[in-house]
Amino acid sequence: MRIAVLSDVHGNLEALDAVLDDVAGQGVEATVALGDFLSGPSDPVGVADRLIELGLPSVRGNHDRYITDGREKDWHIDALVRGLLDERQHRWLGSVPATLLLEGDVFLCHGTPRDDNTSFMDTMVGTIPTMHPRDYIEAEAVGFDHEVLLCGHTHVPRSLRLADGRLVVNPGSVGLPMEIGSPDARYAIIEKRRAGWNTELRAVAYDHAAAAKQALDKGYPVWAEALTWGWASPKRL
Amino acid sequence: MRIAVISDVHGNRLALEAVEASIAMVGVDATINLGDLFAGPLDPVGTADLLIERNYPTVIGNHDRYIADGLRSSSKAPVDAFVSERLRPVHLDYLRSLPATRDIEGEVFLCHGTPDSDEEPWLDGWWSDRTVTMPGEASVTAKAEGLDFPVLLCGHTHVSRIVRLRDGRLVVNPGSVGLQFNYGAPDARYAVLERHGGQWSASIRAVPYDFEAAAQQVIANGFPHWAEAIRTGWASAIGLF
Repeated sequence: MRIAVLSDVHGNLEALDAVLDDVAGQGVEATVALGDFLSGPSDPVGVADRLIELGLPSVRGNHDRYITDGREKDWHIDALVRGLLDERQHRWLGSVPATLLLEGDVFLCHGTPRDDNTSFMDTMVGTIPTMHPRDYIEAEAVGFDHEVLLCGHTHVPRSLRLADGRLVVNPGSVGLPMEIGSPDARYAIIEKRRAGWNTELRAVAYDHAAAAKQALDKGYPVWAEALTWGWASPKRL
Repeated sequence: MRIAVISDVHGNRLALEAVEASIAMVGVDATINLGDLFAGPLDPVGTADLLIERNYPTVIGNHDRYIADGLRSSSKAPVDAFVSERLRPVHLDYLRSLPATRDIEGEVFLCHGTPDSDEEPWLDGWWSDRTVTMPGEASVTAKAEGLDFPVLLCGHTHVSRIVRLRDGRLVVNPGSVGLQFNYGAPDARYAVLERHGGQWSASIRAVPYDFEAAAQQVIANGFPHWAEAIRTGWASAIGLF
């Protein structure tokens, strides 16, 4: 069993297409997506159409939920995307479940199994990107007794093994690198072999200048900077 | 062109064999090694015999240097002492033959810690207050100054990361083959570099292996405090050596 795992595309069609192109050469049996598909200025409508066409097994992210349901303190970009989507695209986004269990005992969520806006493995202490302590991560996984737990949300790629052998994998972000020091698009491939699940955390060079130009043309220079260098803090977006 | 990058084997032959099996399935043109080869209370001699036979392009790590030069006394460095007692002259000669830095065809630069030091971390701020921290851009970039290679490789921190500098150069730490600490997985780590159309990209691999058998080796050799690191990947690096 070999599965490509995509997350946090954030409206970046250039990055998504580069990753899909890379996936095509990897001999996977399935591709899945972990949410936060559209919230970004580059080409959210293009991403919606691409994902509707592909019909990947998917879960929704917190920003997908905000676009669909609205919230009191709306992110500017979520309001923008909400206005750009047509009825069909809205219907698709509203239909994506919060969690999903795949054949092969692979569980999909966006943040943690219980909450799409909670980080599972990585966090910030002040301005320093670091990891949650072991006890916190183990506690978030309690009750989700599956061989592999897939999560996104933090945009930080990581493969971690819980005390009982379950694997937790975050593929990083396809379309919005933050605090990671690289503009490359990230995704993961997980593969079950005789000794257990292997993880591959891939970084794909793509035309990030084109994605940054789209963001800049739409009036989002901070996003353009994040897409170009990969060092931006989430607090600035 | 595809290159496998291994680092920080630390005497863990079981992990090395699992990584070599994984590399064989990937199919690479070369494998290269960033040092800290034998310094672990697992199977230093078995690891030495295997790596000398393989003869991968390799740079010396700080622990290799301590062992080769007899720098650390047994009371202060029980692991290096344990390893030094078991290695044969041929193993020590091999360590002494390794350069601190080298490059592959002007494309890929190898060092253990940073280009200037085998003891300095590059892509992680590890034990500065918290374990596993992402350093700032200025510090990462400064250490690459003057090195005109498309790919710069480092090990030492045991934390795998892929960074691309503003001028397009890639800096990669593959993580550790044989000794995981601070970040929560016992699985062996390595990296694969690929060049397509002049552009280098990288991926990090995590490979499960029989880490319980490796934990039994450290216990049998009298280093039970290594077992938690080997089994969980969560132990602190402090006090291991």
